[in-house]
Amino acid sequence: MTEPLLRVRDLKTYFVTEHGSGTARAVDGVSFDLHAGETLGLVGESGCGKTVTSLSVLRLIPEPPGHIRPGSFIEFAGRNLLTLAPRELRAIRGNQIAMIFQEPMTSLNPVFTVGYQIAEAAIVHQRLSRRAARTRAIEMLKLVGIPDPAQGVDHYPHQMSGGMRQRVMIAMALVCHPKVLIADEPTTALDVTIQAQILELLERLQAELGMAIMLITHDLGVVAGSADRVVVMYAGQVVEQAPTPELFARPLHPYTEGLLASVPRLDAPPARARGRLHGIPGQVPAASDWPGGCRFHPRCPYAWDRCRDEEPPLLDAGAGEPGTHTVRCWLLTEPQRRTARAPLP
Amino acid sequence: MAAWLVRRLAASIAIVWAVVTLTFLIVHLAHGSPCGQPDGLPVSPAICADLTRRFGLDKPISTQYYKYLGALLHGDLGWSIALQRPVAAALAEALPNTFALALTALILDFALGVALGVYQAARERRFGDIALGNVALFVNSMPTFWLVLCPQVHAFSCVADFAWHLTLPALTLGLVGAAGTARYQRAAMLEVVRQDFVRTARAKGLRERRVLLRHALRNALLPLITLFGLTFPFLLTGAVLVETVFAWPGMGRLAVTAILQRDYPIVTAAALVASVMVVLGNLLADALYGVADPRIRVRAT
Repeated sequence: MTEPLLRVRDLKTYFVTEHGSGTARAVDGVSFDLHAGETLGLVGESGCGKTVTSLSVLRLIPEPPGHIRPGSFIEFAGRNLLTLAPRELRAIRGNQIAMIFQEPMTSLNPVFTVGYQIAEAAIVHQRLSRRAARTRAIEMLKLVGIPDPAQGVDHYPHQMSGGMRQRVMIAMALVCHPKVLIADEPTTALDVTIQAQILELLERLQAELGMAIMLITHDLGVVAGSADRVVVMYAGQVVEQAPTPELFARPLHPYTEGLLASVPRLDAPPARARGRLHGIPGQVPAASDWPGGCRFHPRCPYAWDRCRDEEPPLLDAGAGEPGTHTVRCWLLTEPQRRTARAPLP
Repeated sequence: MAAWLVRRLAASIAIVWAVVTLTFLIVHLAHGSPCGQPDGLPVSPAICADLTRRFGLDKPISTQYYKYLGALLHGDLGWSIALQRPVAAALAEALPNTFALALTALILDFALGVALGVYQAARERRFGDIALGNVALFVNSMPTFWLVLCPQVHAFSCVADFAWHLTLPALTLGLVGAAGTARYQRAAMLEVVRQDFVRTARAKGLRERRVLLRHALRNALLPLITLFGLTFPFLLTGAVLVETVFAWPGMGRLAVTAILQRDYPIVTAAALVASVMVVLGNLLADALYGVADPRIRVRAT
């Protein structure tokens, strides 16, 4: 296997809670790799730490109240991003690693033209002249499929629809041809038909420009269609990690199982199609108060004593090479318990 | 655009007319008269009767009002009772002084206020922010204290030079204004830097200075324009207290003296100037909004 482009090891991003008394361990020891040219899906419910993980990569966590703990490690092209001087970090932001955000409505600056906002990164990183930057902005708008780009370049964000603005965000992120694109819920705020268009666009651009994509989403449907590999997060930790087909065929963590069962499917096998959609009972606990033992045990249909007392490590599921499919669950050591009780209602 | 201008102009004229009318009624209905005790000119009853007749003050108020309005429409502001000269001449003398003072103070107010506010926001809750915040609060809450202290300094250095005489009152007005402006600017910046597009700007790899001064400040100037629209007429109609303390021959002093002497033509003229300034300040603020925020730009169709 080739060297990963981005290597995240034991990332811990904590926040001081509102009253200043506690610590919210939003991301608590997350590790994963991102390889050149691949799409990695980062999946989980709201509050599981996926957005904080993605923001931590570019050190965009507001400090205070947040901070990345010493001992965390984010390696990109042989350098630890967490110890870079601000100047070196800026040379990577928007240039080698770029980011698009969930809310295209609020993520664009209302007082600048979209052309300027797209060109700005190129002006800063590549020292393009104003005119060259404008030409580049028009090219980028064309690339992301904005009709009439020569006119659109002078438009302000409020003159565009949500889907068009997200295209602008993508153009803005890709203007310097980054090696990594972090897409944090890029389609969540959009209509379903627009969602599909944006995902197709990302896929096409990835094929054309060859960047790696870290796709953060709560929507397993989005992951199934576009990701090569999936990292499932729960309560600030990675709970399962596998290639997409493997994960969908053989979900091993009860949380992943629950997530998959809660996706509405037209082609559902008859055993599952009992007329009602499955939901995972309960909700993600507060990050300042993770449960002891396995963090999922209060919501887990299989939990037994060990789950309450001992925190499971990431265990290898034994598919392909070691590390291909890993799961943070004691069931792997006692698989007979899975069949002991039917998990689904 | 043209339709918008016509609408604004019509509204402005209506406002100015309403202010002039109200002022006219209030000063004429108020107690006292231009001559005689206790406020008016110290003249004999015979001269007083003559004055009253010559200025038509013995006529019914409606007659006086129509006469005044008719003259005003012909550009005639009237004749000052106390100063014994045309009102227009008195204004022509006072207005440039007030303008010089007000513009200097305005520039100081907003240049310093915006700069301090941005600095404070960038250093939120650190030493620089807290120290400046306390100084600003002090300056802002003790204007009288400040005003009393300044003339003492002034007395030691009586250089008969316009610029020098301008310095202290302009500093007083400007600093008190800047203290308030900085608080507004700080709050506006802090609100803007929490917004998503500021994070987007950082994610692009921009310097923090560019993020704050370009991306955040442009947005944080909008509430300041409102403040500007309010401060502008306040200063341009003459800051009464400062002009009095520093013996600055501007509109504020002219108006106060005229009110005390029941010099009706000057009082109504001062109100006219004030209302025109308010209208102008609002127009200016609206124009600035258009420049600063593309979302409220009037379409040029």
